[in-house]
Amino acid sequence: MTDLAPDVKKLMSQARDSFSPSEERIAAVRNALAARIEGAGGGGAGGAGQGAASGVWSAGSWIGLGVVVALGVTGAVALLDREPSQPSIPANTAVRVEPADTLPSIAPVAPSENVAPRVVEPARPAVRGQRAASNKLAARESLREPARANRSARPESNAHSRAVSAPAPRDVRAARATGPQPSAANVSDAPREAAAAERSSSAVVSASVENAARTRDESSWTAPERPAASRAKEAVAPPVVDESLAREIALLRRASKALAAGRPDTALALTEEHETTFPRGTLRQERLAARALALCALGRPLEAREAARALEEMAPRSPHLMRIRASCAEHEPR
Amino acid sequence: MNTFMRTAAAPDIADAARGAAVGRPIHETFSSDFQTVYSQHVGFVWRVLRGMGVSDAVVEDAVQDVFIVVHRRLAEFDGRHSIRSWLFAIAYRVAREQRRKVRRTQDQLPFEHQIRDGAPTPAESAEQAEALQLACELLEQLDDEKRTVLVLTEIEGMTAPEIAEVTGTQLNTVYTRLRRARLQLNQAMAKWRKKKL
Repeated sequence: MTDLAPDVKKLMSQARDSFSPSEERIAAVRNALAARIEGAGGGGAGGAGQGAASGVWSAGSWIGLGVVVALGVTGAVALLDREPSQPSIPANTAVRVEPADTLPSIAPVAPSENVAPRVVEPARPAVRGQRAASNKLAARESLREPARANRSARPESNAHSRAVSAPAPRDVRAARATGPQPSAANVSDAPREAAAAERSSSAVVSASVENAARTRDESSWTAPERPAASRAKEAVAPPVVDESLAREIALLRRASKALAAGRPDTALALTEEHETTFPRGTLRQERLAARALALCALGRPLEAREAARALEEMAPRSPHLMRIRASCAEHEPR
Repeated sequence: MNTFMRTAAAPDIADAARGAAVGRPIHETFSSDFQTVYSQHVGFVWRVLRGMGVSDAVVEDAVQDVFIVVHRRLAEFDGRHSIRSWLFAIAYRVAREQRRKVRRTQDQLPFEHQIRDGAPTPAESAEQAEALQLACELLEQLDDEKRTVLVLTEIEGMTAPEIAEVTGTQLNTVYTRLRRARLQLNQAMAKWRKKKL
C-alpha cells in the first residue's frame, strides 16, 4: 500500500497541530454561538435571558467549562483593558495574537516574561458576537471574579455598542448556512487559486500597514527594519510599545484577510469597527482602502468610489490608490 | 454523501423530544446535548474545515456556520449514522461554499503581491509556519475527493473503514482515492524538493 513520503507525513502532522484550535478560540466561537442562538430564539424559551439555567448553555454547564470560558472572557477583557492583566493568566493560553506575517512587532512579550501580553486579539470575526456574549458573561462571572467586573464596566459599554453594529453579517450567514444545498458548481479547484486568493488581498492592507506604521510612528516603534513580505526568522520579536496602534493593525489585518477569504461583509464590518474604535487612528488610509475594496466586492461601486475619493483627499500619494484604481472604485484622479 | 432520513429517534434524542412534548423549552432541553456535541466535536469540525481549504482568518465564522446548522437540526438527527459523519457532511458543504466565495472574489480584486497565510505567532516557530504553508499548498493540489480522504486519514487519523462511513463512500473507493492522493502528494513534494536545490 502506498504510503506518504516521510517528509510529507511530517508536514501533515505539523499541519494537524496548526489546524487544531486553541482553547480560547473554542471558547470564543462558543460565546459567539450562544449570542447568535440566544439572540435568535431567546424571546420565548429562555424567558429570563441571563437567569438561572435558561439558554443554550445553562449555568450548570458553565461550571464545568468555567475555566475555559474565563480565559475567553479574560482574553476579551485584556483586549479592552489597558491595565496589565493578572499574573494568573498564562501568557500562552489567555492571549492569542493574530499571526504577524509582516509585522513582527505585533508579537506579544515573550512567554518567558510573567506579565501577560498587552497586545491581544483573542478572536477573529467572531469577536463581535463574543463581545456581546462576554458582556453577559462578565455579569455572570462577576461572582467568581469580582475584581474584573469593576474593570470591565467601562469597556463594556464600548464593546456593547460595537457588538450592536454588526448584526447583518451574522444573519446573512445564518440564512445561508441553512439554505438549500447550493447547486453543484465546478469543483475542480485550480491548484493555486484558493491559496493565492488567501494571500493576495492581504497585501493591500498588510504590506503597507507595516510601512505606514513605521513612517508615521517612529518614536514608539521599536521593531527592527524588515522587508515587507519576508517571513520572520527569529522566533521572538520585541514588544510593541504603542498598544492601540497594534490593535489597529490587528483589526485591519483581519479585514484584509477577510477580503482575501471572500468575506467582504466581514471585512466591511471590521473597517467600520476600526472607524468607531479609532476615529482618529493612525491607519485611516488603510481603513479607507480596505473599505473601498470591500464595497467593491459587495457590489457597491458608488460607495467604493466615495471611499476612494476620501482616501485621495487624505493622502493623494497613498500607495493604496493605485490598487484601488484597478478595482471598481476607479475614478478620475484630480 | 449520507442522507439522513427522519426515522425513529435514537434514545437520547427521544428523551429530549419527550421533554419538549411536556413543555420544557427547547433550548433547555437540548442545551446539554448541543453543548456536548460542540465540546466533543469542535476540534474535528475545525480541522476538517482547515484541511478542506478554509483559511485561518475565517475558520471561526465557518465553524459557527456549521454549529448553527447543528443546533437547528439536532432534533432531526436520527442517530442512525454517526454524529461525526453528519458533522462532516455539514462541514464539507460549508467549506465548499467558502472556497467558491474565495474564487468569486479573486476575479474582482486583482493583486500582485503574495503574502503567506499562517505566519509565525510567538508560540510557533518560523519553521512551523513554513511547514503549514507548504502543507496547505500541497493539499490545495488535490481535488476535493482526494483531499477529503487524505485529510481524514493523515490529519484526523481515521481508518479507511471509518472514512468510508463518515463520507458515505465505498471502502474500495476510499482505498483508491487514498492511494492516488498519497502518490500525488509524494510527487508534488519531490518536485518541490528539486526546485529548492
